[in-house]
Amino acid sequence: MDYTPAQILHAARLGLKDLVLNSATIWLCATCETCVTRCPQGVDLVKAMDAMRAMCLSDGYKPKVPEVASFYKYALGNIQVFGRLYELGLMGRLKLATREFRKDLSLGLGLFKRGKLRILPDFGGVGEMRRMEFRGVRRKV
Amino acid sequence: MKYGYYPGCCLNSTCKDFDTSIRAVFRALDIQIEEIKRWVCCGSSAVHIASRYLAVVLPLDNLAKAQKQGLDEVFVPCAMCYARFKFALHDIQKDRGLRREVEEALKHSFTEKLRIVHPLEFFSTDEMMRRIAAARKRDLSKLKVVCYYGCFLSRPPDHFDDAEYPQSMDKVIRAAGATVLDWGCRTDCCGGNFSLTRTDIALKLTRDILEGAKEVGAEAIVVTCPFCHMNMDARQGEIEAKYDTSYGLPVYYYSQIMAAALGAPEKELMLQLHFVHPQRVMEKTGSNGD
Repeated sequence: MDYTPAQILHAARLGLKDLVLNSATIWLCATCETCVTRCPQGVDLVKAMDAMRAMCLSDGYKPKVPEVASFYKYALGNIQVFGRLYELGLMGRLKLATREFRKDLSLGLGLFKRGKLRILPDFGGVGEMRRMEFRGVRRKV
Repeated sequence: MKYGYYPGCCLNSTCKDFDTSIRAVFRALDIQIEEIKRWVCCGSSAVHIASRYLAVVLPLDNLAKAQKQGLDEVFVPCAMCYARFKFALHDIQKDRGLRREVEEALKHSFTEKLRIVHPLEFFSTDEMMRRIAAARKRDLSKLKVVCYYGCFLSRPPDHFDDAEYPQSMDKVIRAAGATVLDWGCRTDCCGGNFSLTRTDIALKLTRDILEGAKEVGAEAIVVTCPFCHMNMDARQGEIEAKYDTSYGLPVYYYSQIMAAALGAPEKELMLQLHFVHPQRVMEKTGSNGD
């Protein structure tokens, strides 16, 4: 992390938008909620981080930790298409984005050998996502 | 009374063992469940970053379907899904404008009876624990475990259990007959969100947890979350290689320990899906299974 979470929040309050949205911190927050649980001021730092990450993407900033940003991006796209997460598809898409084709190869094989990975997506949620799209739900931010 | 059941994406694919074992537990305790028809992903782990609205709509769409099916109390066994459902309900309770908007989009108005129930919340009542203890068919007392709650089961603090020192899983697993040890890592983060991208972070965080379990002499870890399971079980070999150490700690879902204790047939535990010493729980019962 290049700034502590407290520094990020302070910078946000000072309106230092570039500093905040160009930081690695907003992408390296694991959203574990420990800070939210302990904050004596009741600050929901995770929701704030979510908002900053969303703003980073929507306002055209380049995410400082691009691989994490692409995970969120492709997982979202995956869910929007299939309605239910298609893990193998997500892993493949991430590989194309990060170009690290050898990373986690043995893990993937191990998962595959044990029958943990679905080869084809479960299409049970596809129609549901379409239905929501017709109602204009999907595009809303 | 019949309860709703939301499996979610992980239990539908990578964690079939979680799904079959929790169904076995419900069956053994004679609790009627019905799966929500045409359920969709709750959006956990990704959607809340891209769209706050969608992060609320996806869980609530499933709840609207549940209520249309006549199910007011819905079990959500996965800790990540459970958190997303809780957040969504919380958000529409606080924000009436949002509630109106969502109800209009989903063409459903939510009634007050609607409740999200985590199985551990349900099983950790005195009455249920008595029933579990009375229904035990296998003896797990020789198995020493630690219960790992992770981030999403007990946080944020308005959940059913204590946020810093949760006890529900310890109580339930004890009722199932296993020996539960105390330890300090129960709510530490395993870095699940980074498992596929910044694996270095996930490996370090997970190592600290495995180390904590080893320190107190645990022989297995019991978890509630598919991401934690993936990091601790499937990546354990990688961690051992990276840090030049050895743990050999099997990782089970709470439902697998319960199902084992309640005498479920071994095929419903689906232990073959695990990487590290999958059979330890059965070996400790001293039987060869069914």
